Amino acid sequence: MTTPDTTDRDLATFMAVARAVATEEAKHMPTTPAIERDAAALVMFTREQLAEARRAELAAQPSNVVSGAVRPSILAMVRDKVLARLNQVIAAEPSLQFAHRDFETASDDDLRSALEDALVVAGLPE
Amino acid sequence: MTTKNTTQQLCRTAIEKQVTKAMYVSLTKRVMALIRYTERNKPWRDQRGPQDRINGAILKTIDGELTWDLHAAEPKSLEDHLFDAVSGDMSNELKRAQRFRHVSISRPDALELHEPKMHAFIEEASETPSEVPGLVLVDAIAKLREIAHRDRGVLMILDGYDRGAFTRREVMRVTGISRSAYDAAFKRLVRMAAPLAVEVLGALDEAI
Repeated sequence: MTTPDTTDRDLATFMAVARAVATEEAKHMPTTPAIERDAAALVMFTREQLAEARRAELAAQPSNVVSGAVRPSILAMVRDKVLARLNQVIAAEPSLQFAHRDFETASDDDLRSALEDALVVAGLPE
Repeated sequence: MTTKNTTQQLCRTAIEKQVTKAMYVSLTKRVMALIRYTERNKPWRDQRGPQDRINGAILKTIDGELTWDLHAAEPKSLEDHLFDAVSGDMSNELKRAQRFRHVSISRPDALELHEPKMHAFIEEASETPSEVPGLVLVDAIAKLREIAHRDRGVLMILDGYDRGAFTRREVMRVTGISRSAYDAAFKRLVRMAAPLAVEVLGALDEAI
């Protein structure tokens, strides 16, 4: 609710009456082919604008792609420490998906890479 | 990874749910009727057309420039939100164009006093059709009050509008009118206001 001055108030009252009359008149207005065409074009326009807004928003979001580079601190870890940390991350984030879960048979490099990816995706520190 | 739902994302989802051809058919008709009613009652000519006005309103809503309050006590439908937005735009155009004094039909002396200015303005406006003529010739609302002078319910609704209350709930709150009285009076108000232009213009002819 607003408290406009006199001129604004008169105009706001006029527009409120106009909206009420227009809404009533519209109920008795026939739907012409031109109105149908305009309405269809408006639907298309709205959907295009929604899609464009979503694309712009996605483009502005930080990328989820993991670079593949393993940080030096992980490279410096021994195999047992990498395995222990990986198990901690899995326990903390059970929804994390791994392409390969048989860590015992994986190479040291693959393990370090898996830990790097898991930490990035889960957003966890070392 | 999850994405937080921002207000704009929620708004877009709500738009997507409510956008249908039927909704736009109804909205287009209401906007056409609103333009026609305003043109009949004010020396104002629409320069944009209903589709452009609706396009503008939906674009502003998607961009977040125009707020569609989905968390309001009585949230508006998308159609009502867009209709009010179009009405707001037209109101701003009328406001910007109000360069001359408001002349009431109940005061023919004032009308006479302003007549030369009015004619000059109308001539100027007709020579430059892209400009919105802003002179308010007739106080349509004063005329409506005259017509409704014995109808307490209609006068209460108009008083509510004057006090910035535009929804049924707001009018009921500020005026104390009951729901059933409001509904009945609102129908009478629409019936009285619809043919107003014809009466007002007739009265204007007599006054001049």
